[in-house]
Formats: sequence, structure tokens, C-alpha cells
Amino acid sequence: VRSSACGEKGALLRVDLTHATHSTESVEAYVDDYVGGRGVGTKILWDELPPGTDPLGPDSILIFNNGPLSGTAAPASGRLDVSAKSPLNNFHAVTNLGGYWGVELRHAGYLHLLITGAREEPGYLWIHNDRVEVRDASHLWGLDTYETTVQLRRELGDEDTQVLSIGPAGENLVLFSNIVTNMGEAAGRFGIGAVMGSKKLKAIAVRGTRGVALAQPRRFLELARDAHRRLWESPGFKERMKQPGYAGMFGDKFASSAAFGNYEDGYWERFAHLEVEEFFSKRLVRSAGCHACFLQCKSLVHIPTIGYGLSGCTAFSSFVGTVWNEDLTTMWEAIILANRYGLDFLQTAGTIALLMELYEKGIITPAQTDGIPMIKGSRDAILGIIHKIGRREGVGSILADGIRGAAEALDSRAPEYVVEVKGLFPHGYAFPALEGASLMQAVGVGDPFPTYGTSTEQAVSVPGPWKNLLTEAKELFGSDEAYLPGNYSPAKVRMVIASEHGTRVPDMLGVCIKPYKVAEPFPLEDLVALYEAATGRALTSAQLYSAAERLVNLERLFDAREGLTREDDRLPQRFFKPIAGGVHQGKALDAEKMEEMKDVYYQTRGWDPQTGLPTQEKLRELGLEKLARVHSSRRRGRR
Amino acid sequence: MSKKLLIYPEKCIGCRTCEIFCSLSHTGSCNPARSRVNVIKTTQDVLCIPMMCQQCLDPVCAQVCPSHAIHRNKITGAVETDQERCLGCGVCVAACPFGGSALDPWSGTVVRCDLCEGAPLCAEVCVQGAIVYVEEERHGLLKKRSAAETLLAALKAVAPKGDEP
Repeated sequence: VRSSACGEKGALLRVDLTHATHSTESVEAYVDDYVGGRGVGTKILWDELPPGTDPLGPDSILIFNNGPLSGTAAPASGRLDVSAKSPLNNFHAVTNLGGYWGVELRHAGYLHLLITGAREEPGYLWIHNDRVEVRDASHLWGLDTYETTVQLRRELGDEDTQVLSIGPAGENLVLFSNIVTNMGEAAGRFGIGAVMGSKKLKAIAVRGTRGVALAQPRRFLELARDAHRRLWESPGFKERMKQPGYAGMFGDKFASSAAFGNYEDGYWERFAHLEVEEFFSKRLVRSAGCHACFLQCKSLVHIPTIGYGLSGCTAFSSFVGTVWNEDLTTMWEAIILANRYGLDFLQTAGTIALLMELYEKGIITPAQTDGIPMIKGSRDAILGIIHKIGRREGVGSILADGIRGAAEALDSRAPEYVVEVKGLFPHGYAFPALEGASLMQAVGVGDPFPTYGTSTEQAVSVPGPWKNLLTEAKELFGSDEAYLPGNYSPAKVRMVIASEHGTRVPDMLGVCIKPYKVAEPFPLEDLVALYEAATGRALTSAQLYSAAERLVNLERLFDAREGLTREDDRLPQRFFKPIAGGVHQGKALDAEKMEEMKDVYYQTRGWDPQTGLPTQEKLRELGLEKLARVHSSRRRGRR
Repeated sequence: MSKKLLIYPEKCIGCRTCEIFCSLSHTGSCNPARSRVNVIKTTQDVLCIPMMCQQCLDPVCAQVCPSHAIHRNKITGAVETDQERCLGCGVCVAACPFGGSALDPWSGTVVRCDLCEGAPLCAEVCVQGAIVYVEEERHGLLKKRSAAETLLAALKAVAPKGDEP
């Protein structure tokens, strides 16, 4: 079998765990409207998952989605989208991961991998080009994610095998458990580790040597060369290369413009004095690059007796700022431990932060946390709770079901301290000072952290040489208010909508947004040309943005079909209270103005402000009118 | 002045951009399994090093080839296999201490770095500088300079405060 290009027969591998069968099929029918990757994956999820399905039941499905550029020479073409219904919030789980696993799947000949059904006994999936087997994994059940990779590579006898696995947290159906690759990359936030766990699927090992065939190889080569060169030569990249991967998240600037603990403070003085650079530079093994990416946004760090791991900004901020931890060795222990269990860093840290605040306020006692005093920054508290959650042991069994339910179970006064958006603890940005990012957070799928315009808004919110950015805001959105903080203007709404579309473009193509963001302006034309040379299909950037808009609407329909209404687009109470310290001290969102801004957002999107859902007219415009009839009833999956 | 490929494993970030461009330019497909250069990762992917033909002065592969099919290209300096004479026996693969020769899994013939006719693409796309293509006379000195920088940084780290240059 020769390699399969986009749209060819065999681009989707379907594996039925219940009957231990597999087949391949074409995704051709989806490509025109949804391009690939996250777009096609969401449409398949819409088509194949009946509304109200228990995400942890045998009928739930899990889809891994490469895009048409995945695994090619296009810059950073190693980002894999993963789609499922989230057991954490019963909405669409939107998550993705870098590294090499998705690329290996593409090189094995598959754009998409769809897992249906469930096994009775633990199993793992072994994909070696067109050879697909479900094998017994009873000997792997209980192993952590690192051990599983080592064991499977040994068993399969090929060190180049890429392994994706769940740890004990996924096995124990922790609702925020991750799927983790051998490199420590994780698809997180939404509990898809538990989806795999409920299917008794311990791991997926892939080896692919079929490669990716391209419609116009010579042209693709020249375009890819140029695209790489343009990114390296951009001033943003040169600036980025002066700093290692862990830089940018420490020092006074970060300490005074982020959120700390359970969103209790906007400044943490001790954070500014942490010797982060010294800690990491002494322990750095090398910078790490994902497939065909030069950015080095991650660093491979080794600490004897604790182990190897990748450091990224979320891992760092979660187990330092969120849990008031000043000891960087404890941070590293927490990162490795959470990754071995297969736990989401941020959700785990947010849960710990809540317990710490409740303990400080005298709302909970150590008796409620299995004897662990939840003292802010305490090593025993941080590591102790990670173990409890990962094993679903004692208080961990309550915490593992999500932050709001846990608060309700602990004390009647606890829920008012809960910080969550659609069940997810948000990334540590100073949201009360960022109206655009807050809007995107409120109306978004899951927790979209600031990207494109909203990340520019964040940059502009702290002092710096931002004059040219304000000119850009005027050109793109009609007013510099789009980027400037302190307003709820329609220009800001337009900026948020553009950001929402912008994040979906790379997700549909199968590339990582990060290195492209470094370049100014965003090299969209390069991506369009690469797509055409790869697939032989014509595409314009307008079509790409139109597909992104269709995808936003489809994702909204999916969540509506599962019961979402405007009520769910709710921000935590804490975002409306003044920030305690830092550069944004005293800033708070205005609840009434935020609601008005949401009205404008829904109207601009062509959605009904009453329900927050797409109107018939909008759906007709996007060719989605056939899907509209099913989105009215309120249904929920689990509990 | 002839040039040589020089590899700095300590600069490699394991991104495999070299592999994907190499396979694309030589086979028209993106497939590391058909690349002339491979980034080998060990110890759970922690350590990585690009491995490829070293273009030896007195190549072992040429010595062991039973059909005398391996010769040096006088213009590029690359050690090349005459595909007309190649038996596909794989003795050169077995003999090379670097894995510089390999049997292409699709065609079954021997493939080896051909220096891209004097402008190696792997070196061009390695922005980290882990693979560089330099004049032969600078080859050793560059490696010495790189080692010296590491050594000096280490010395500086242990020097008493105030003694810094």
C-alpha cells in the first residue's frame, strides 16, 4: 500500500473495540466544508455521537485528527487534534497535542483514527502501517504513563514506536485525566484520559513508514523551504531565540500581570524573586522541538531522583503560582507526578488552590482532606492531593469528579469560592483586566486562552512599546479599542471573533499555531499555498476563514445539542471583583457591560442573544440548516 | 575548497526537520523511513543525534562492496553508489559504523547522503546549527571552538565571584 493523501480512500481508520474489528474509509465528503483536522473531527463527532450519550459509556467515541499538512515539511506540522464528548462538562472536548504521535499516525497512512465501543478487559491498540491489532494489556494496567511507554517499546521491539497512554488517573476515570505521549506531551483539560479508561484502552502504539504523498512534491518543497525561512527571519523569532523555552514566565512582569492561587491575587511578590532561570538552566538537557518545528517552546529538563520531563508555561504556572509554591524542586516533583498519573496540570492545581483557600478561611479542616493540612505552598498538600486524585482515594474520589461538585460536597460555603468556566479552571491570566479575553473565555468552547488578538490585548495591558499594535487594531477592527483594555466596544467583539476563527485555521490544517504567531503578520498565504500543493485542491484564505466560522457554529450546535444555553457562558464571580495587586490592581469586569458585550457578540455572530445559539438564517448561510432541527432539547450525559 | 558536513549533537532539538526535507527532496514524499539522515533518539527520547553518511576519506562501504559500485563523486565529494552495478546485497550497510548506508524500504536499493549536489538541504533547514556544511579547513577548528565555549562556560560557573572577565 502506498501512502494515502488527503481525501484518498483509507484516510480514516475506524477501530471498534467491542468487536475487535477495524476498517478504513474516505473522509472526502467532509473536506470541502471542514478542511481537515479539528474541522473534520468535529463533524464526525456530530454525525456519530448521539446526543445525550454517556461520555464514559461504551457508546462514546474518541477521534484523533490530523490535518492535510500533518507530518509534512510544513513548519510545525505535528499538532494533533483530539475530539470527544468531555466527561468533565458534557460538552465538546477540544484538545490537542504536539510531539510525534500524530505524525507517526499520518506516516502510517491515516489522517483520522476513530475509536468506538469498549473492551471488557484492558487492551492496547497496535498500529503498524496497515497492520492493526487490539492486544491484551492486563500486564500494563496500573502502570504510569512513562512506564507504559518503556514497557510497550520493549515489547514491540522498536524504539521508534510512538506511544500514547493513560496513567492510573485515566484508568480510575478521573474527570480531568489526560492522554500522555512518550515525550510527556498531553491532550488535556477535558478528561479524555477517562474516556480511554472507560473503554479499557490503556495505550495506542503507532509505527508508520508509509509517509505522506503530496500532489505537487517539488512545489511543496520550495514552498515549505520559503515558509520556514520566512519564520526564522522574522524579528519575532530572532527575539524568541534569545530566550530558552522556559523564559517569559518569570520575573516581575509575570508576577504582576498574572493570576495567583485560586484567582485570589494579581501579584505575588515572592514569585518575582524566584530563581527560575538558574534552576532551569542548570538542569536543562536540551531544548525540545516538535515535528518540523524550530521554536523550542519547551525545554527538556532532568532532575536526578525525580526524573526527566518537558517544561512548558502551563506546567510551570500551575505548580508554582496557582498553588503558592516557592520550591521549584517541589514544582518538578508535581509536574512529573501529575504526568505519570496522567492528570491535567491546571485543573489539578486549581483544585488544590481551592482547597488551600478554603483551609485558610477555616471552611475546611484537615479531617476533610484525609488528614492533610491544605497550607498554601505546602509540599505535602500539593503532592498529597495529586496522589489522592490520581488514585481516587479518600477525598480524591470527590475531587476527581470536578471542582464544583467537590466544593458542594465539602461545605455549603465552599461553592462561592469556585473558579470555573464550563467546569474548567481557567489559565492564570489577569482576566478581570482583559475584557476581550474574558469574552472569549465566556462564550468559548472549553477554555480558550488568549491567542491572536486577545493575546495582543494582554500584551497591550501592561506597559510597553505598543504603538504599532494600536495602528494594527485600527486597520483590522476599526478602532484601537480592540486592543486597549478598559472597554466593551464592538471593535473588541470583532477582534474576539477574528481570534476565534484564527485559532481554528491551524487546527484544521494540522499545524501548531505557536511558531506562526511569532511571525508578524500571520503568514496565512503560505499555509494556503502549502495546502494547495499538498492536496491538489484549490483553496482561498476566505474559504479557510469561512470554514473556521462554520466550525465555530458546528461546535456551538454540538454543545447546544448536549444542553448548552446562554446561561453556560458564565464567568466566575471573582472576575467581577477588583484584582488585589500588581499592575492591574483594582481592575474588575463590569457584570452588566459584560452581558451587553455578549449581546453584541451573539448578534455579530448571527446568533440569538436570548438563547446564545445560531439562528436559522446564519445556519442557512453556512450550509448547516440541516443540522439545526436537533439542537433545541436540553440533554446531559452523565449524572 | 571542498566542504564537509559537521554535526553538533548538543545543538539538536530532535525536531526531525532534516529528515522530512531529505525524504521530500529525494523521494517526493514526506517519510523519515526513506530519509538519508535520521535523528536517533535514545533514553526515552531524551538524547538525540542526527546520523548520516560521514563521507569518509577511505570509506569502509567502498572496500567491502563486492561489485565495486561505490565511488567518490569528484565534484561534490560525496560517496556514491553506481545503481547499475549495485547488487542490493546490503554488505555496505552492515559494514558502515555510522549507519550511513541504508536499504530504501521501498526500492530495496542502497541510499546514502549525496550532499544534495553540493548544497545539503538538511544543513540549510537546521536553524539550530546542529548540522552545518563548512569548508574542510574550518571543520576541526569549529568543533574546537564549540567545545571551548562549553568548557569556558563551565569554568566561569565554578569561578569565585568577582573573578569574572
